Amino acid sequence: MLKATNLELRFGGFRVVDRVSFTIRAAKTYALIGPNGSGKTSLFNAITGVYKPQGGKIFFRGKDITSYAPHRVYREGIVRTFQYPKVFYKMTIIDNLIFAARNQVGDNPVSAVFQRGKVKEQERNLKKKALDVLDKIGLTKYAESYPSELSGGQLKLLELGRALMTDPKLLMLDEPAAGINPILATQLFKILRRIRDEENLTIFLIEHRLEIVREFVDWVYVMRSGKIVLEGSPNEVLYDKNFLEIYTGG
Amino acid sequence: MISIEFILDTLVLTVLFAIVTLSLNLKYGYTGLLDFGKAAFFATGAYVSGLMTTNGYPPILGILTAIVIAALMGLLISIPAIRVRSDYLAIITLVFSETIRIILKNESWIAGGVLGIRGIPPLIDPRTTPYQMYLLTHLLIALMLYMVFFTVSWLLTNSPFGRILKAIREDEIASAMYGKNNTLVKAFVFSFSCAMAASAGSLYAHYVGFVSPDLFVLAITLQVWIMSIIGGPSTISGSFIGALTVLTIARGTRIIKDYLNLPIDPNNTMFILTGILLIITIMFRPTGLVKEGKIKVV
Ligand SMILES: Nc1ncnc2c1ncn2[C@@H]1O[C@H](COP(=O)(O)OP(=O)(O)OP(=O)(O)O)[C@@H](O)[C@H]1O
Ligand SMILES: [Mg+2]
Repeated sequence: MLKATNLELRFGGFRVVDRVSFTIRAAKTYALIGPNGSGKTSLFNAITGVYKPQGGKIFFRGKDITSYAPHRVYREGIVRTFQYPKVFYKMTIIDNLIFAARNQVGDNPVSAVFQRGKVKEQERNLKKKALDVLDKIGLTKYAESYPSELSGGQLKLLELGRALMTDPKLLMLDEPAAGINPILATQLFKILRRIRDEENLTIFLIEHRLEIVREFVDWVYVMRSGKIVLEGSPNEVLYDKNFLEIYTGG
Repeated sequence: MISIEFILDTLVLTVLFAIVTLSLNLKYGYTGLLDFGKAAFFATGAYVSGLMTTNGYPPILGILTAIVIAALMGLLISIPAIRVRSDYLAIITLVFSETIRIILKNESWIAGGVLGIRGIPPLIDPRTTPYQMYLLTHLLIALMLYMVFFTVSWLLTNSPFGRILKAIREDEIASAMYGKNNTLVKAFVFSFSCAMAASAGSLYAHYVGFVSPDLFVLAITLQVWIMSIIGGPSTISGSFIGALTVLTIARGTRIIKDYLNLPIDPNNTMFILTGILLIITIMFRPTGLVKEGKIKVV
């Protein structure tokens, strides 16, 4: 589904993504793990167009999407969440969700003014859909609240909900459970698992702790200093003789 | 005595400034784009209308041409301006405004140089109508224009498009990641907001009958900023409230001088009062008199 070859991202001569190649297959769940600063987020940024890679190619469902701007990456069906929540604090939670939905007539300013009927009709449908998503992530009672009223963990859930609003073909999650307590984290992966199985989603996620996602993922990529240095099933990686060394940086 | 003429005259200016303030609210209050060149577009409208009507074209054609030219100019400066950080954007718009002012001042073949354009015809013949009627007509026309922009802006901001504006203001990367073409949206906002300010300038030219490069001065832009901040930048109706508050102070101080024997120049009284009000607003009601509301699509 997604295929990257020799992907390279540099900041001032420093290779944060160093000729990385990997493959994501449809309806499977992948984890990208690795120590702090190993380039995981940067790899996501290179795929989603936040930064243009200096080298390599990215193919998505057979199409070359290398160097696509973020809004074009979105159109292809890829959506990603952010390690540090980037929600819109001056919009209500439900507005944050509806914002993300595809093909909105009212995104066009001319239609927003002159096709009010169509815009309203679509809005009502999207509102239903957003309430559905809120129900799934357990934030229903916050629909009309603002993000500032949410806890850190709930903000992560909101990020996830917003991504789900887009009916993604590929869902990329940057540390969806980071910084939240283990109970909520387990709960989050439970929610995620249910949604994944219901909608047959393809997921590529970043996580520090392999133990937490061990049950959840099919395949693991391990990054270190900008390179993918190890890959395999969760158990293979966990019991690999080099795994500990990669993490402790020996 | 406060005459009815004085009130009508204040109201005409209030409505014209409310239009310019609304254009700034869309750009800055909603979309987060700094603009210190507002006066340039106001003046562009005034000059285009002045030039066209003194050359025999009807006022409506003048206003329409002003709107089109300002929209194109807005689009043009949006090209370099859109990609830079917001503080650079402030500088670009300011420099643009000053450049036009200096060119118009020094190249007198374009539009009269320092003298500007005189004898711009009013929208209704003052020789055959009483002065109050003349004022009232201009007020109604200005109000009609304001209502049009008010309605369009309300619809724009209370729609999915309005969500994009706020999203750009808050987090451009998140906006782009969720499929929005920020560049196009910003270009539209630039263009629309410039056209709006220009149309107010057109009416202003007809109302006062002359234009000069002084219309471009930064003081006018800053006055619009103060109106925006006091009224509530991220609102539609705050544009009127802000303009009314600032102009009431500006004109009120001129009247007060007839009653109170203050030891200071009335102009300075105005600056002091406006300054105090601005400080009070920023300290105690930083969102302005009207608060930012929720987006209402249905
Ligand atoms: N915009 C940037 N400019 C310069 N350097 C950057 C930038 N973004 C990331 N880096 C550098 O790239 C390297 C990789 O960072 P990245 O955020 O991708 O790591 P990560 O694996 O996601 O780490 P973490 O687990 O802490 O999230 C770091 O050394 C970081 O300082
Ligand atoms: Mg990271």
